[in-house]
Amino acid sequence: MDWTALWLSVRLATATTLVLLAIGIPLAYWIVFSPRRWKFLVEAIVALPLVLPPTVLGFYVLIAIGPLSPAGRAYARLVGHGLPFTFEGLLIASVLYSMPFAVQPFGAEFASVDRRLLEASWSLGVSRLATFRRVVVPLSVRGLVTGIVLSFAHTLGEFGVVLMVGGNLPGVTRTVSISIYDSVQSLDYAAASRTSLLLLVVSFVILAFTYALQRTVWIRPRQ
Amino acid sequence: MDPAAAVTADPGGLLTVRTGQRFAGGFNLSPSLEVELLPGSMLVLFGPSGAGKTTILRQIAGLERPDEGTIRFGADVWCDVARQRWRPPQERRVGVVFQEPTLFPHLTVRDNIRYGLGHRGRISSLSGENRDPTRVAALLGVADLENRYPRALSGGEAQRIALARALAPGPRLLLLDEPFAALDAPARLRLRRDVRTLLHTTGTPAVFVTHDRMEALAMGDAVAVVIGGRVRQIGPVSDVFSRPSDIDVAASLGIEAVLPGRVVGSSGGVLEVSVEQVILHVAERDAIAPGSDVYACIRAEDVTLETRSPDQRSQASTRNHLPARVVAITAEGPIDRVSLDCGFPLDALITRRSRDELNLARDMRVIAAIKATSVHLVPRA
Repeated sequence: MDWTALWLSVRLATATTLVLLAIGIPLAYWIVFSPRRWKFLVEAIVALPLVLPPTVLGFYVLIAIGPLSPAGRAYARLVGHGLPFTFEGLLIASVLYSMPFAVQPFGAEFASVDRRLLEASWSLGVSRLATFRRVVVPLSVRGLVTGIVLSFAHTLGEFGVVLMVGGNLPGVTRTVSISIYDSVQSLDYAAASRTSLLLLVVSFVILAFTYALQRTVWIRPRQ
Repeated sequence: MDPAAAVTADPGGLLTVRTGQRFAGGFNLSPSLEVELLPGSMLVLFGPSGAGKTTILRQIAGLERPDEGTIRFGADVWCDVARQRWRPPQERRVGVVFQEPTLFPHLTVRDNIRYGLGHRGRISSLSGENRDPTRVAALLGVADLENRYPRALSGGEAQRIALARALAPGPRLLLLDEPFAALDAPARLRLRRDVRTLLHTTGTPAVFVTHDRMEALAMGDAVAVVIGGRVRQIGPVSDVFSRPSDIDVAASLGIEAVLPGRVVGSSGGVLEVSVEQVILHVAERDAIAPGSDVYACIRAEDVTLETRSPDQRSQASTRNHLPARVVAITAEGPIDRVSLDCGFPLDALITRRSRDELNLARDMRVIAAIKATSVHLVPRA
């Protein structure tokens, strides 16, 4: 078993999930509550990774963060090295790649909160932000957990994007799925099967947990 | 702070709504009303479903943004589209109670009631005894429900909590959108009474939306009749109900008999109106020239029934005694609605006891008695 690769994948998935929590919640809130007509464009962009081949997404991210783009050059000047084939570059790609798996469950749950509860809260003098924190978030726990779990699992299993953006540097960008691919390429089927089985079990447990959560009608408050 | 000062801190004020809002589908809302809301008094927005009452209420609350116009309460401008002034609902200090109780399902009753407290120093500036949330809860009889969650409440209890929640922060104005519509009749009656008491105790003025005329009569001090997105008449409840300004208002107020007729004469200030060959004597404040076409409006409550023959002249002051035939009798709660044919259709509302004493039955001949002051004339255009 390639423990280095596994540990890297877990770190990447955790970091990706945290970033997605930070930007996915405001983004989902904006998509659900903004009166802008053109927000469907943003929704479409967020959902792109669902249909785009990972290699295509990876290719564009590689170009965008590489020395060919102004942003990539600026980063390299600032930090001293480029983003491609680093953990940070991989993180950017993973965040984009897993975005719909966080934003869509968040948004679906925010949208299901009865709008009159928000209006009642505003009328009681509570700001929009505080209303979000005191009403929307507690009533969206299920969607938030689903989004977190799905982005974690999805990042854990990503392959094409990693290959394009990260390459195959042990301990830096060789994630668990790349490691499996390497094992198979070198005809080490035993190692590939051990790691594959682990991923299979982990993914199944995560999904089973998510669907079990969907079944509970309402997360009961403390009685 | 002096508690007495806190209670009298909101002396009500002049509510002005002159707005315009267009909706997809061609509906235009252009209400115009100006009414002095004294502490504890209630303005009823009355009208048929779809007339725009709820949207007017939402504009006042700041939950709906008009395309044009102004909304003012007291010294505050809540909305002035031309001058780009807009106060969000958070800054209007209004309490809103919706048709369905919209309690926060993840909070206990206590936390629901206290939800609006502790913001912008509200509780410190408005801590008069009647603003105290515990007292509001006690007045509404919900103090013992404090630890429950909303899903464990009945509809009436939930709506009481919603009221307590809206009143707890001491709003300047309470807005009620058909708050009793989803309740059963006994709960509705109890809540009506309790809301009136509560408004008087706390001195909070209120705007109340309803399409139920009994509710409008029961709750309102002033009533604004809303039809087709416009305020068609506004005034004290008794004035509006007894003297509707035009035929649409009269019909929406549920004055059952709206009879086309013509003024055929006048003697001593009493007009003679011919309705289907029957002469009605009408005492009308406004002078209407003989020959004018009018609608004679008669409320079923104002029609009394007698069983003596018409030639026996009574000593009562009632001017109109119309021979009539009983067409149908339908029960409406404790009241019976008696449909009559006196040359034109007319309804009378009487108590069950009266019906029994008169031995009323279908096809029976009776006398419908109507005071001259109970017939209201609306000139026809």
